[in-house]
Parts: sequence; C-alpha cells; structure tokens
Amino acid sequence: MTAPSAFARLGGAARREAGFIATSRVMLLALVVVPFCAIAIVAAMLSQGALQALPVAVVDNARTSESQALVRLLSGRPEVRIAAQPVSDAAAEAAMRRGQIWAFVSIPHGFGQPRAADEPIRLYYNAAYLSVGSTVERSLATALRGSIIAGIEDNAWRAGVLSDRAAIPQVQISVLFNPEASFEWYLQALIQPAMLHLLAACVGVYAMARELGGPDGRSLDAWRAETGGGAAALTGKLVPYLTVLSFWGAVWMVWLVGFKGWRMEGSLLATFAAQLALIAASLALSFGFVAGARRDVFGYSLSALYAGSALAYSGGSLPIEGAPTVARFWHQVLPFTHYLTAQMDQFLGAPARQAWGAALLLTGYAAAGLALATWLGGRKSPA
Amino acid sequence: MSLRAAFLDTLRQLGCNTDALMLIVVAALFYGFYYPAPYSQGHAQDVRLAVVDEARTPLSRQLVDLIEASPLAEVAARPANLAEARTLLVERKVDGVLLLPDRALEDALRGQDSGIALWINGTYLVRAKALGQAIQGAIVNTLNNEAKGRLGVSIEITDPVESQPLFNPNLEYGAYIFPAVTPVILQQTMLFGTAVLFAGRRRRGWNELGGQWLALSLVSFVLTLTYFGWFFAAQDIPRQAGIGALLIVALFAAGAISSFSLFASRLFPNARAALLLLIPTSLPIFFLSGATWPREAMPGWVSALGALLPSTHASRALLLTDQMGAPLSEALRPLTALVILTISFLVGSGLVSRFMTNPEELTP
Repeated sequence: MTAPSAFARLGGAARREAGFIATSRVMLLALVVVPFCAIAIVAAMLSQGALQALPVAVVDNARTSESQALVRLLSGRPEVRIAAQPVSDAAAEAAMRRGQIWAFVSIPHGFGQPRAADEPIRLYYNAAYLSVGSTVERSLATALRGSIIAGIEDNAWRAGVLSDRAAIPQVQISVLFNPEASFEWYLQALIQPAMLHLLAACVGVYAMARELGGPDGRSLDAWRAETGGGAAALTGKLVPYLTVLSFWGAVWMVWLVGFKGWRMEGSLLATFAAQLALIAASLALSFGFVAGARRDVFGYSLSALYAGSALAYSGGSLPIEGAPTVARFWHQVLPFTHYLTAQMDQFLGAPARQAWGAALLLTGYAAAGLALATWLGGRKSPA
Repeated sequence: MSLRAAFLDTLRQLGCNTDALMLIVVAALFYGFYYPAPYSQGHAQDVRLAVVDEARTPLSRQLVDLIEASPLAEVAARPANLAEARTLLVERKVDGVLLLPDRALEDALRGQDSGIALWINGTYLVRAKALGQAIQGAIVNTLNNEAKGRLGVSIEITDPVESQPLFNPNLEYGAYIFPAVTPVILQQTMLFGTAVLFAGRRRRGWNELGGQWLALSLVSFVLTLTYFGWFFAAQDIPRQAGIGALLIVALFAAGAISSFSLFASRLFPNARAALLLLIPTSLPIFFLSGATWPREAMPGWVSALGALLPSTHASRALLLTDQMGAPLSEALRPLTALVILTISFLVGSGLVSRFMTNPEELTP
C-alpha cells in the first residue's frame, strides 16, 4: 500500500477537522458566536459615530454680551452640551474631578471690552481620559479660536477698537483620508483585526491541544496515524478554521467599507490577502506552540501574551518611535504590526505592492508556524 | 468543608498548580512591565515630515530647523516640489507634508494670508496631532524671533485660547492608558487562572465557595495594590488618592473580580474550553470600560453589558480617586456597583453549582 499523497493528506485532515467543528459546541461558539458578538458589540458601541453632547461647563467671569455670544456659540457645537455654568473655576474643577463634566471654559473678566487685559480664555479638560478629553478640547478650542479671530476681533475692528494682539498665523491643514479626524473610524480600524488575531491564536491552540489527549485517549501519535501527519496534514487542519475566521474578517471589512462608507483608497484585495495571512499565521504559530510544549495552557498563555498585547505594540495608537529598544524590536517581531501597517496604509492609498509585501511576510510567519509544528509535533509523545 | 479549610485549600491548590500560578500571579506581575513598555516614551516622537521649501530664505530655513529641533517631528525629506512630497506621503515614507510658499513667513509677519499648508496622514490620529502641534509651535516661535531680532519690534503672537490639561498635565499617553487598563489586566489574569483551577468543578457547597472567594480575593487584593503602588510609581503615573482610598478601591475591586472569575469559570466544562472563549473577550472588555470611548456615548444595551463587568467599575473608581483626585465619596457609585456584582456573582456561582452540575463531572 502506498502512502497517501500530500494533497490527499491535506484534504483528509481538513475534512476531519470540519467534521469536528460541526459537532463541537465549544468550537462553534468560538467560530460563530464570539466573532459575531465581537463585531456586533464594537459596531454598536461606536454606532453613534462622532462623539456628541458630552457635558462641559462654562465659567463666565465677564458676563458681557460678547461672552454670552461665546457661550451660545459653544452650546451650538454638536460634540458638547453645556451642562453647567458654575460661578468659579474652582467649582468647575470640582465638577470635573467628580467626573460630571469633561471640560470647562473659563472666560476672563472684561472679555470683549475695549482695553481688556490680554488674558486668554482658558480651556481646562480631563486628560486622565485622554482620548475623550482631547476630542472635547479640539472641538471647544476650534470654536473659540474661530470665533475670536474671525468674529469678535472683526467686530472690534469695525467698532474701531483695535486689538493690539496679532493672531496666530493660520496654517491650511488637510487631514488626508480621515478629514474629520474621526475617532470612531480610527477605533473601528484598530479593534476588529486585533480581536480576530487573538481569537485565531486561541482557536489554533484549542484545535491542536485537542489532539494532545484526554479521556478519550487521543494523542498526537494517533492524529499522525490517522491523517498521515506532516506539514500537509497540519495545513489541512488549519484550512477550515482559516476559512471561517476569514469570513468574519471579510464581514468586518464589508461593514467598514461597504456600510460605513469608509473608502479604501488602496487595494482592498491586497489588504484582505494580508488579513488572511495574519489569521493563518496566528493559527499556525499556535499549532507550533502547542506541538512544542504539549500543553494547552502554555499555548494560551503565549497567545494572550503576544496577540493580546499586539495592539499596544503595533504603534497604531502611540507611535513606537522613542520607546525602549526591546519594545521597538518586539513591535517588529509581532505579526499584527505588519498587518495593521498594511491596512492603515491601504486606507490612505499606499501602493498595493506594500500590502502584498505584508501578506507575503505574514505567509512566512504561517509557514514558520507550520514548520515548527511539523518538527515539534513529529516527536513521539512521551509514553 | 469549613470556610477556613476551603480558604486554605484554595491557596494550597493555587500554590501547587503551576498553570494557575503562572496566569494569576506571574502573568499579572509580568504585564505590569510588559504592557506599559510601548507607551513609556509618553508622546509621539519624531513623526516624519517632508518640507517643500519654495521660499528658501533664512527665515524659512530657521523654521525648518525649529521643526527639526522639536521632539515631536523629524524632517525626513526635503523634496523639490509638492508632487514629489505627496508621493512620499502616499508611499508612507512620511506622515505629513509642509508647504512653505515663496515669502510665506514674511506675509504671515505682515498679517497676510501666508499660504502655508500642511497635509497630514489622518489614519493615525496621535501622529497627526503631534505634527500639527510641532509645526504650529515652530511657526509661532520663528515669527516671534524674527519680529524681535530683524525688525526690531516686539510683537506678541499669542493664542487667544489657552488649553490646560488636568489630571495628566504632560499629556502622557501611558499615564492615560495604563491606569485604565490595569483593572482589565487584573480581572482577565484572575479569570483565566480561576478557569484553570475550577472550570468543570461545580459541585461545591457555600462554604467552599466562600473559601475560594476569600482566597482569590486576597491574592487579587495584593496584586491590585502592587499595581496601584509599585507599578504606577515605576511608570510615573500621576497619583492623587491617599492610601486609605486606594485600599478601599483595591479591596472592592478584588472582591468583585474574584467573584466574577469564580462564576465565569463554573460556566465552562473544562479549562481548555474556558480559555478558548474567555481570552478573546479581553479587547472588547477593555473598550466596554469606557476609557477610550465614553460609556455615555454607547447604546444602552452595550453600556449595560459593560456594567456587568467588575473592570468597568474598578477602572472608574480608580480613575476618579487616583487620577482625578475626587474624594472617595464621589466614587460611591462604582464602589456600590462592585459590591452588587460581588454578591450577584457569588449567588450566581452557588446557583450554577446547584443546577448545572452533571453526573459525569470530574471532582478532584
């Protein structure tokens, strides 16, 4: 009898795994319910779009018609709502400390009056919640600067009251791809692929660890005997998981690009190929970890460590430049970094070859994971 | 089994189980260094910029030097024209392009439209903001210096709005993200370790449950204090709460985290299945805490889902007291929520023990 060909081993192992998935409640939960819920929860969480009506306060020390005009202007900003008008900065700060408001504007005495002191308007914001605080600050500061420079000083000119203060030179700023600097888009683009990466890593651990044995007497030796083993059978084992998880990756991409309307200026196909390779790499690396350690908890721990923190190390939030050398090195080692860079660059319209390069690199990670699993999994299980 | 015996037995089991010990203690301690490492630089640094200097005057060169001197930005290219610069931007060799037209700064000095333009890659918001700040700062400084030095007049270019960040005065990214993520790290490591210890072992009486809860709460309390004290100090996180307030927040957080972990671990038939389904929840759990996207901006049901998690309330209580310096009385709401969750998950664990036990279940 001749040994089955590599292709037959791949097909056989894939069919065997598909059969397992169809009958395993736990795996169906992981492959269907978890990704569906994750996409739905994150999409719902951000469904409001831009941040709106966040409570802020105004301390109007001037009580002039100009200062009241400013308060009216701020109350017209969609991002905020004026929840309080405390009598002093101290009272406003206390409200912010209690978490009741995100920011407050302090309009100085004499604002809008001729020869008023050159005291600026002060804008205090909660930087402990940096992302929300910065959004509120940007909205309020833009409104205030625009109004003061374009409106109130203009009125002062017309009224013959010259301001002796030069306005800061205006720079024409164009924010490419994300002109509104949408925090919603930014989070959507970061969170979903990171979740899929971590899920794929955990699914890979379970899929391999189930061959390690248990009450039903399974073992890696038995799996090899049944499927022919080797890289072909491991690839076959990987294919059904890759198919299902890639489907969820595609669902997310369709949601982002199709429904939310965030147009990808570069190549969607190349980005999807990179995502496919990332999922394959996550699965294959987990196969390697479990085949090497022969312990599921070890595989899960490594997955949580490298995939769970991949977003933090990706440079997607804070750029990694300036971080310690070890952190910059780890940033380069993690597969997710290369996917996220490719994805974000394709949104901006970078040449497709860059994303194809990332896809190729991530395929290399997948191949390395499979090679590791083939090599380490080939050892006889201890008796 | 008595409460005391169950308490000691849980500590003994934890001490003997390498996997659980690795997840609950070693991983939690390791994350204290590992998680903040990529944020330790605090701010965006050396964001790459291409400058198209059509003016080529001493003034424009001075501006470019000032941008280069800023820690926020780095002049990575000086292309000859705008088309070349835009290619660099699209090919991601740089994150922004600054155009300085002929006589731009002289025009700005005279209060005329300068025509200075900046194109920024908007896919990375933190980098985009850093570039904007670096360039605005450099322009203002250049013009102030020039007016004073060459023209011999002292004009003051001031910003009519002065922004002052409170509670994180240096706008350090790590000082924002690390305290917010700390309760999630502590909760998830305890959750995974508890699953390794107790998944599939539901046949327990109330005393055993109480003993397990007390033992895990003690471990979680010590780990929480290690974060609030040692790790926060090591990372220079601005801290405002007194020791009394921190002890109370840590105590309430530890109790709820342990209770939640015991309940969740009882829902799974074994540790392998528990970890498969629990580890991937870590990212959504962090975002549900409201640290990056406020809970008031979430739909009611999503916010309610977040309210079921101890990490959400622990994060709120910690940020209110320690980062924002609110008195403990202002954190009563999240602290009460932690108590309610503690009791609910303990009762839930007891009910799971009673109603979900199956005959084949393995007992130690």
